[in-house]
Amino acid sequence: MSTWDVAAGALLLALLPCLLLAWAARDPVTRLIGVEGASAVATMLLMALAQDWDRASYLDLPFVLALLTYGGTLVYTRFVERWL
Amino acid sequence: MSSLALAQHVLVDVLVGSSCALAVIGTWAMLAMRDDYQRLHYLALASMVAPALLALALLVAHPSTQAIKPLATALLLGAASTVLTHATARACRVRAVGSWSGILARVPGADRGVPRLPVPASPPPPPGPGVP
Repeated sequence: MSTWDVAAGALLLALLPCLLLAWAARDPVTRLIGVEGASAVATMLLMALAQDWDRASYLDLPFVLALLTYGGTLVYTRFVERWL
Repeated sequence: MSSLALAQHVLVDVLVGSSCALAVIGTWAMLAMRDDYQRLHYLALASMVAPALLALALLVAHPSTQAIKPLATALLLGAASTVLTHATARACRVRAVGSWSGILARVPGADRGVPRLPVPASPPPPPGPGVP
């Protein structure tokens, strides 16, 4: 078991509270904070898995995820602020 | 294993371990906090510091042009995190107070320069039964 395997397991452990917040919180802003945390941790998880599997091309995926998360979360934040 | 390779290995392990520890501490502390403003503080730990350390670990493990991608990802996450944290805190405040300058409006001149949100127009009432 390599360092990156352990890192992926630890990051899965870090993903759990974010998913709990996004799933079970009452306020929509709290759920949004959970989604933001989950996307950041998922980006790190993809980076660790790409290194673990020794596929450099897989490193494109976390970059695209971080890029899309930025725009998506910003739109959702505006939506929560105005309409929910 | 040469001493340089051993040092590189140890440095990678330390960076990955600190990154994962910070991510775990930040997210679980986020769950334990009382309100959303406190949660946003701990979110920064998992979304800014931890990815930067992980990208540094990848750079140390494979110092080549491929390390640009994780570095760019960590930079993007760090830049996006600041904007998203502010936007989320703003949404939280608008939902709690009613407007961005709701509390500041009580102090004369304190809201100078703070942009006011346009109030969405209320929809017209539905026509009565006699109106065609």
